[in-house]
Amino acid sequence: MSAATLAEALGLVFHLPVLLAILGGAVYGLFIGALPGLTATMATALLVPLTFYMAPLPAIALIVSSTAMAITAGDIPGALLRIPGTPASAAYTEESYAMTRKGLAVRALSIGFFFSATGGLIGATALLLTGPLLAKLSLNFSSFEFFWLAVLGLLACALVSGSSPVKGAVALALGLLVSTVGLDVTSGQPRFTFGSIELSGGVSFIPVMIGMFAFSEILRGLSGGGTDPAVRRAKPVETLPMRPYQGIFGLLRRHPRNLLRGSALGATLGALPGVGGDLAAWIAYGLSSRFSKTPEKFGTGHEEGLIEATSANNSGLSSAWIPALVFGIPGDAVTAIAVGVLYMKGVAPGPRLFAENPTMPTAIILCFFLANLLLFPLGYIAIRGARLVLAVPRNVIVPMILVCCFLGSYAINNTLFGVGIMLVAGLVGYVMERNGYPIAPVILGLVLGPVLERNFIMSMQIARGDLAGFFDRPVAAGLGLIVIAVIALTLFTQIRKALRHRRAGQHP
Amino acid sequence: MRIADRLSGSVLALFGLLVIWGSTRLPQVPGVRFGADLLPLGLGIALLGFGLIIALSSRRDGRVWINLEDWRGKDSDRRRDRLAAIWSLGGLALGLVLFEPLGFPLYGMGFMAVMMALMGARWPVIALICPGFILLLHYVFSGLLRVSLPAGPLAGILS
Repeated sequence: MSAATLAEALGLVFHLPVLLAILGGAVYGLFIGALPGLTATMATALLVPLTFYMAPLPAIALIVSSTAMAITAGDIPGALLRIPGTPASAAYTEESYAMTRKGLAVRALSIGFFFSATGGLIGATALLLTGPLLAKLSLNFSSFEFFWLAVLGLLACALVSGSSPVKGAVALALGLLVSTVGLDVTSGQPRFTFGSIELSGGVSFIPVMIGMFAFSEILRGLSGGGTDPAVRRAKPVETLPMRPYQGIFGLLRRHPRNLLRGSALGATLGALPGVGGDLAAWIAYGLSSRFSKTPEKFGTGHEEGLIEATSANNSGLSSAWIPALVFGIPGDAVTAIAVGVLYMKGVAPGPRLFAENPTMPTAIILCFFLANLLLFPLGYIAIRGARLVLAVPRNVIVPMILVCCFLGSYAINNTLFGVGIMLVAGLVGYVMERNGYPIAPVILGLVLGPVLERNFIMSMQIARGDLAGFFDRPVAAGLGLIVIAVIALTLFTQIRKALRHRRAGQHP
Repeated sequence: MRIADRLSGSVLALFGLLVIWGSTRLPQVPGVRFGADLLPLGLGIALLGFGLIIALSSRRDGRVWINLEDWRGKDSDRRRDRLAAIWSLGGLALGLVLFEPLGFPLYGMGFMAVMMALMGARWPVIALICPGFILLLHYVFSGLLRVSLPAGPLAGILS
């Protein structure tokens, strides 16, 4: 990219309608993202009619800005109410909510906003510098590589989500099983639908997420959940007088590796159509736990995993636009809508756009920078506002959350079927959690199930049923070996732990 | 509610068997070697295996099959929480039937008022917060975000 293109793009972006669109989109995204059950995709879809009346760049700036903010703001209900806003934020909801329970809600939210914004800026830089290169690389990925990536993400999640890998694997299998309900991804046959029209459409992850995280948490709170009555009666107020972003630079100094590793992972995986963005946060959290000097602190409200996963989340969000802009191939629902808007405005994304009109894609990338920079001040305001939520008495906030659970599950498809799913998921989640089965792998299994199955079936058909075909291509073989190494390492650790326990039992 | 691992493992193993049976009954497409049954079959086998591991590796420490200790307790707070938990389930399940005819505002206010009362909120607080919160949510979802929410008998007033 030449300096002249950059200067021209800057001129386009620093234009009042574009700046207003970025600001308006950010405020709107903050509002939508903070509401349980409303997704960034829904936020983008609702904006489309508005973009009819806008010029191409402000229209895309509006979408970019609202998406970045909605996905980050989805961390707010996750941290405060244990309702993750997106599948990616489900990766670290347990961690941020554990911080809230320790009286560190402001710190959890500050980490969320600060490192999301920083990760987003790094992702936008990656988009600017390596966009075309990464897109070319991701286009060389076949079903074999996507299959191994999905397996890697699922493994990372199952292994770090609880103390027992077997129970983690059970949770993962249950999530994958729920993802098979509906029409089969390859042949289109109905599967486990029991004649129900609603089940033919599959089970949406939003009501399951709301039920498993939020509703089950309320049941756990009302049942005591192992805490004594005095603790239950205590109001969940902030116990430490903390300002938003207080001590954040100390965290940055202590954990630069987590930020860089998460952002790099997000930027790389985000460019993979279909799976990237969501998977990045989960793998980042898993990696953070693996490389941490204090892995035992994960799940108890520890900042390391939170920093790495939130950085990966927003970094992946930026790079998800790489295939959309460079090749016109949308990787997810948001970029699909954005590509549609671009076409509607007479701007055809693809390699020719970069060759013939490089100013436009560069200006879009600059919008990412501005949207992520806006996360800092708007995050400050949001965190200050979120503190009020924590001061609300328990007998007011719990009924409010339940109404939000109901409405969020209903709003996703405007049917009561979602509410039913939420109730069942809540009960199952409650029983699972009380018995040591982690619930996060259920969500990832549900999200990645169709990706895993589609790529597995496709690969098996290409390889004519020969499993050796999964190791024929160099990248696929590398990813496959990593998966095998992770499984072998886990088995080895478990056997060593069991032997140590046995020895300790023999020699007390 | 704690369930002994040997019980939860056995239930999972049985569920795995059920999934295996269910996947073998899925219709096969002629000429398709890897069909709709492949993943469910694999998951059924995995659930059966993991269930057996959990059931067989649990220590025989004489623990009861199902322990409802966390739901017991005789103090008034525990009783209140128990009733609130029952209402949170029952009230939301009731919503599956009453939501359409009553509409969101009436159902939401009713559900929330009972829940707040069961959790020990005072009536003036309930009277102030319930209508305010529910009408605000109705306006945000229905008015601003164009989510089609049934308004029930209040449709004429709220439109």
